[in-house]
Amino acid sequence: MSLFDWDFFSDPDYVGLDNFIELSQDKLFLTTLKNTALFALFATSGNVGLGMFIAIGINSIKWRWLKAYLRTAYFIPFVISTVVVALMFGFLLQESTGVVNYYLSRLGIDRIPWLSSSAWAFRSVVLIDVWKHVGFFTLIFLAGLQAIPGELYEAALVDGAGRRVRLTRITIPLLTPSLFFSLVIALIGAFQVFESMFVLTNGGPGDATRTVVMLLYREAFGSFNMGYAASMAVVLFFIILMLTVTQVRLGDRWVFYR
Amino acid sequence: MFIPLLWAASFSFGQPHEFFKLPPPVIPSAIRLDNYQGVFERVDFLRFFLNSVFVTGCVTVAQLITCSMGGYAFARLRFPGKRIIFILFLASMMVPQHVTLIPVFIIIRGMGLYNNLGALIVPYAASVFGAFLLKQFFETIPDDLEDAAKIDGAGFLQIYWRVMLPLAGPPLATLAILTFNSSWNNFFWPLIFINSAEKMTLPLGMIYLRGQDGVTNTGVLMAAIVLNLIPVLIFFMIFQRRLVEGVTLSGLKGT
Repeated sequence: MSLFDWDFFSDPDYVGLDNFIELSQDKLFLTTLKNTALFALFATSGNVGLGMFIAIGINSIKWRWLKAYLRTAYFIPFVISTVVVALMFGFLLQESTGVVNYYLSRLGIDRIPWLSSSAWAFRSVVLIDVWKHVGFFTLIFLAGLQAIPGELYEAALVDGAGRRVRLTRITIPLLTPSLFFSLVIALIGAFQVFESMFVLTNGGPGDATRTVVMLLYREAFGSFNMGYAASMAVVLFFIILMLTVTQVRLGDRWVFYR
Repeated sequence: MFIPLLWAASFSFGQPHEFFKLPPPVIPSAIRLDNYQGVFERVDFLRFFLNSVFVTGCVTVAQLITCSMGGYAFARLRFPGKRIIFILFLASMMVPQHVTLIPVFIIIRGMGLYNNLGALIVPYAASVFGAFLLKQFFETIPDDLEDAAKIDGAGFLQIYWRVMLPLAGPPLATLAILTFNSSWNNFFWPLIFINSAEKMTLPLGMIYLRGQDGVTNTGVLMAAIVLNLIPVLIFFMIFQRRLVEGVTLSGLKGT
């Protein structure tokens, strides 16, 4: 379908690769591509990095109830719908009347234009994404941590290994399968973001938080350029496919399988 | 992690003028239910809720049936091209839903399901993930059980129904919960297929409510958010263990 020019109502015209040529010169498309890639980079590293950090932290807690409580607390946002999350933050992050800015100003920090400046809107969207998803990755890392046999730590203790050595030589290498899986999942997910931006900023201010899927949605169901939107979908698919294949290839080098 | 949720809850009881008061009151001056009334007055919230229940229920039941059948077929039956079909199946798991959006849209429209709750059910009636999950489970069931049933004269449908399904309780529960959650929160699909208010599900209904009176009536919006959160949180409390198991299970499968 990406090879046709089609407005959904009349018959489609075959246009060959024209859609793709047009795409490569479409400034807006390139902007959304850049936004999506940057979002994927920050959201993935935030989610996966923080998720691993929190999981290692939770795992080192001795009290069982606190462990269970924290695990639940981090996981709850994951079950809430993105729309609700976005609406809620939209309210809390308002520039002049929002609660967050009020408390920041009490701490002597100037009001932050969370949603009205391009740079901050982008950061806000990433932050909210991390708030919502970090619990999921924490859970995956916790499962990975539980799979590490305790004998390894005992052996390391006998050999006189300190906390840091145990962390860098046992925990992290044995977590690489979880890390790999998380990176793949997070990246695929991040390239498809749509809902939080759609609800919170509608792509703005300007096009600062417009992503490929948002543009695709607008082209297909706002302007009925079905063929053009389909060609965006094809480009997006190939990017995701290539990234995943690359990750799997590179993964063989650094992931430690027992 | 809980702070934003509590804030929203606190505001949902407040009066309009309190939203702009600084410092924002942590606990509203009086517990008022006006905002909750407002939600039901402005939109047919109950209808959204029932639509969500209906769609989610249908999707979940449909997936349990199709995925267990598919999983059983891939795990136990022998048929030509099984390996290739299975690989194609897995490959399709990698294709993001937005990529297939336009073709699926055209198919659904062709079926006359546009602006119909069916449009939210049919595309989700089966899932590759679910079939894969159950295939992995069925493969762990010893062959002997099946052989015994065969000697007793059971056909494969009977084996599926009498032997396999009763054993598959835990993975079916996991699948049901994951499906329920994702279907309940689905926003993209309703956004595209539904355009009249009486067919909306909760997430889309929320946006519709916001469109009705925008930021001017934050209290009502917050009340709607709380109403939205309650069923999800109850659901979470009941199924927390299974949900956590499901996520870790699907996570470990991938490694």
